[in-house]
Amino acid sequence: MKVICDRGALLDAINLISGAVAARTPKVQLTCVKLTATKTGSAGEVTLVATDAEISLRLRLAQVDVQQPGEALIPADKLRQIISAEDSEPTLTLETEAEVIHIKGQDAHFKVFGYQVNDYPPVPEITSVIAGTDGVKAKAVFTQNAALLSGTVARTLFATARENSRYAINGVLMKRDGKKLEMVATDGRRLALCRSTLAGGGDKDAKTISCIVPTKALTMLQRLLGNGDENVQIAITDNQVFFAVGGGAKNEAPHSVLSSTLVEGAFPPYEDVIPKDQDKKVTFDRDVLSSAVRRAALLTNEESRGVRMNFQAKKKHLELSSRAPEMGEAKVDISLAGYEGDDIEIGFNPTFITDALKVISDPQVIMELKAPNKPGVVKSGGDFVYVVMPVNLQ
Amino acid sequence: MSWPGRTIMHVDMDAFFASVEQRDNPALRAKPVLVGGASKRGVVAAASYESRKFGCRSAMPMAQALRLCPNAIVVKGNYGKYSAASKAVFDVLRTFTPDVQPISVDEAFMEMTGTLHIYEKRWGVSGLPVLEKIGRTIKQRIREAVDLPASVGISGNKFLAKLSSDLSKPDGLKILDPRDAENELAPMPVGVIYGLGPKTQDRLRQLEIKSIAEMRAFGEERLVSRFGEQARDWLRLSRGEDNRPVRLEREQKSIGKERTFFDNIGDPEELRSLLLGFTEEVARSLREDKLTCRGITLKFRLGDFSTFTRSATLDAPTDSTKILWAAAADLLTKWLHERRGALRLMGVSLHGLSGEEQLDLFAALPAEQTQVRTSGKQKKVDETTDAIVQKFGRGSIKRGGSLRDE
Repeated sequence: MKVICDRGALLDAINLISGAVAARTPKVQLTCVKLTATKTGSAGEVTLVATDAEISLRLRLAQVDVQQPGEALIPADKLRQIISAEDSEPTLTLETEAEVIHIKGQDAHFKVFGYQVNDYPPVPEITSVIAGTDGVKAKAVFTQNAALLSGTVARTLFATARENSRYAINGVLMKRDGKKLEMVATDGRRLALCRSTLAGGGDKDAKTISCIVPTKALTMLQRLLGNGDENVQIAITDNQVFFAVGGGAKNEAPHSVLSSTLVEGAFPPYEDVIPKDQDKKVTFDRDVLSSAVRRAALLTNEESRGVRMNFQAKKKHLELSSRAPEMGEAKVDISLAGYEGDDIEIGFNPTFITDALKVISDPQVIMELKAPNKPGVVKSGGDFVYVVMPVNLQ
Repeated sequence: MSWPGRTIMHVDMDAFFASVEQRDNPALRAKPVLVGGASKRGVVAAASYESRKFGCRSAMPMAQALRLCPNAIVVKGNYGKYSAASKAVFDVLRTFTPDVQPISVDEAFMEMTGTLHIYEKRWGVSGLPVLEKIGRTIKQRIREAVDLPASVGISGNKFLAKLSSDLSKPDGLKILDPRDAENELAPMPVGVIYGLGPKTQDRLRQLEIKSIAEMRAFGEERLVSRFGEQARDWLRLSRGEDNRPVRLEREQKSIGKERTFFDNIGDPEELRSLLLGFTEEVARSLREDKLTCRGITLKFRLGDFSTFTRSATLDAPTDSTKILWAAAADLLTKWLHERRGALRLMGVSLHGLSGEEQLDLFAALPAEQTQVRTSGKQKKVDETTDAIVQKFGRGSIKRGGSLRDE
């Protein structure tokens, strides 16, 4: 294999793919990235593949000068360091000699020991699960606009449990229901739900199908969804999910394909915890609320994390207060854009509120409440619902 | 008005436990008395002033105290008696001001700023005389109530008030005008500043800083560059400035349980079962106080007195024995993997205490439906065992794992 690549494009690709490279593994091949150089007519391209056995990523780098097609298996970390350090070079030459890879710039020559390409595990392909040619056939295949998908992921991903501890939900529920794509995430204390309409209107007769996508896979997917105009083809099998980003038009192949094993087990029955009988409705200016909560949160700490929210219906007024032992107290007063219902005093973890406000694009936010020990609901547009349990303040 | 600003009082009982023993047993009066466990691993809980002349101090290993003062009389603590005396003392203090902040069973701060004028009016005196009269009256009332000596310090803030009572001990009264503090403090050793432990004092000594005057002369920025932001606090205190408020309730920072073993223990199973017992106990006091905690720390001491701590932060505040035990067991397993050897002491403490409870979305759903390990069922187990302990006493119910062949 001998290729001449644009250094910037190669660096972007290797930075992305490093996320799928196994960090600690007894299997040394999994710390590598596999390069495949092909040539169709005069157009050359290089495909980069990495997998940590759970998540796999395949990136296509077009407009490469392929002088000799071939394959290579290179330690990803070393390759990334070299490409990153050669920052005065517009292009780099990569050339294999058996398992050794030579990387050449103007004044530098690196010789890196690689591994046998044959020892690399097979990485599943979206085309073969759609066609069912490898014995596994996708249960559902559908397409979504990249910007809409990215928005849906962003509005849910933040609500997943940070550690794999008390709650075994280390992923986001993804549900295709006719024309809609729904995602739900929870850490057991708050829950975010976001819906979007599938590209081309979806298929209203399609069977409802859902799966739990690992948090890590969605974090990586977000990095691939840069160009909002693209389409993303999604395929779900019994234990895997595929996201093919870009391509589609003129039979062009996608530039990135991410696949991941699914989180096993059942997602908690989230419909049951979305309250439907809230009797107080607050309308906020998003930025006003966000600023007030952030300021009140300044006087909270590990021991005392709750911010007290005192809603006064008559005055359409909200007083936020906090108190941290041995530190001090805060009080912030804001006016409400609208309030329906009786007075209520309720405590929330301020982070849980600001987290949601960060992903809302609407300048107006609705919060629905019932009682100090019952969940609050934040809504924006018709497609985002956020349920947050209060903090019992004493 | 004796000085502008606040008036804070610090009341400290002298050699509290030992004084109680001497009060109740005439044979102990004017003799060196050590209260504490007499076993070879015992620790001095209180040392009478007679024994302090020999260098005995509280928190010192009993064996060491007895080497310093072989004639000391060792008395096993009678904690019911001390807590009764403590309660009586606090009742006295609260008749002088409602703002009493207990620091321990035998020590308290009192906010006198708002109540001073009452005494000025009642006694027709002001300035220093009224403070002196308050101090004497408190000492006398404590004498009448429990027949025990106390030392009283009065000044403009907590730091200076405590410093004054320490300087006046035993059975003393000292009033320190905060405007004189800067001069009075200058020749004192830096160790009088709270939060400045022996290790830091050693480091300061290497810089030729022994007295507070030397510390001030060293310069704030130079100190901060070596010791970090905490040095600013030291300097503030070194000028006699301290604006901490007197809090009515002591904000509990941690709940802990530790034990020094009669013989060093290396057997993992035995340590596990002991730790389970400790964890049950601290979790129960957590629930008794209606608190949750965010963190857990295990403490290990080896035969050579080297001490280690291992901590974990919990995903969410909890008061559940099961969740705390899972974290404690995990820390113990990791510790055992370090293979450092048999333990002389082991302890567990809970921190990040809070009265807040983050409610659970799925608490109302049956656990098997949610596939998340909610604590609903565990809460019932905890509530039931707590009720049994309350009715039948400690040790009446325990987790199976903490039971050992005795």
